[in-house]
Amino acid sequence: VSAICHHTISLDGYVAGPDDSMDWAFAHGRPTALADETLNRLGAILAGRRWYELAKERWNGVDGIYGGAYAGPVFVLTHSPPHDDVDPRITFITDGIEEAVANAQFAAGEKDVGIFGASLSRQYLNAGLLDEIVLHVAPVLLGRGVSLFGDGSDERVELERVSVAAADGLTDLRFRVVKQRQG
Amino acid sequence: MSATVLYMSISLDGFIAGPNERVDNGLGDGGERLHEWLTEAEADPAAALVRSGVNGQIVDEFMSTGAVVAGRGTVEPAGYWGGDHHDGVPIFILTRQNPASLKQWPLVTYLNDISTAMSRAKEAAGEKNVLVHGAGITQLALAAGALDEIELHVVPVLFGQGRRLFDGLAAKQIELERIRILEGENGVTHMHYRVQY
Repeated sequence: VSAICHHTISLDGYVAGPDDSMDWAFAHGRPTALADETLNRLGAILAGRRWYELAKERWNGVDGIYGGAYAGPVFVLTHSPPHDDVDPRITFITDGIEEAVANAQFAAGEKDVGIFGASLSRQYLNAGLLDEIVLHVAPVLLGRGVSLFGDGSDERVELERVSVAAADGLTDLRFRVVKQRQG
Repeated sequence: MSATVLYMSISLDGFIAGPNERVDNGLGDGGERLHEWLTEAEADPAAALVRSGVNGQIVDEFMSTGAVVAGRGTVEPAGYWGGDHHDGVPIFILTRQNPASLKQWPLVTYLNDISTAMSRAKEAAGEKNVLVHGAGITQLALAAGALDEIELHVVPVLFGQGRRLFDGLAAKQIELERIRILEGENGVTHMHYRVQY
């Protein structure tokens, strides 16, 4: 089971613009071959609380994942799970990242786990748990927003480029995480 | 027509230098990782520039520009490239300081306005492109609508901290057009965009 973080980013490295805007990400072409390939590999998705709130508000929650093409389980890591009106396909995990990982991996079976959210991706990376990074680079500079992997970590991480492809305006990049800790 | 083109090596998470940048530590801690692809012997920054393969093609491209524009934050740690970046082309350095107080070099012109620096460089470059280098100057040039193209050499590493290339931009979306993408050696991906103002 591999843990794959999957993001569309602006050329200046943001996964979401000011006010969590995502319009720019959808304005530059349709889902690419790499996006489809990644979707097909996923047996479970692990997301952060912020992703959950946004998805609920904007994309009809779980129904919006990969435009509705994803049908597997979703785990949301949070300290305070909501009490109301929760989609039965979502499991809230409150016991921390190790527990979340174990649950998602178990649910994924032979398939891989998708990691959604910049801060969760960074936590995964720092915990030495992230195996792959799949990015669609949009041809836009946003100037502000939520950075890929957040800011301020002193962990330097070496990557191995697996593939590069141009797909409409987007550029698909796939990397494997080589080394978790250096120096 | 001649274009102003930013050439920068950058980590996948958007950093062009490591933390603790100083004049005597121009690339910040560990920043040389981003420039390894430029030289034949990876570990030796003094080694000759790579001239073969895809990476060599990119080096040839920026080394055949007709003028250079950079900020003082870039040229000071680089020792003003010994007064000559390549082939004796003119160098325009953006600074707020009085030029008379700065070290004089035959090829160097000090200017305090980004638009003037870019147009003077274009004029000097003639048919050739202008090499633009540095983070501060990128931010100013984008704000002034004076940067035509962006070529990023994306190095497969996550820095986590350091100096960001695109810091301090206005919170205004700038659209780009991808005009080339090349898979360089050593995992470096060269991404070339035209800026659409």
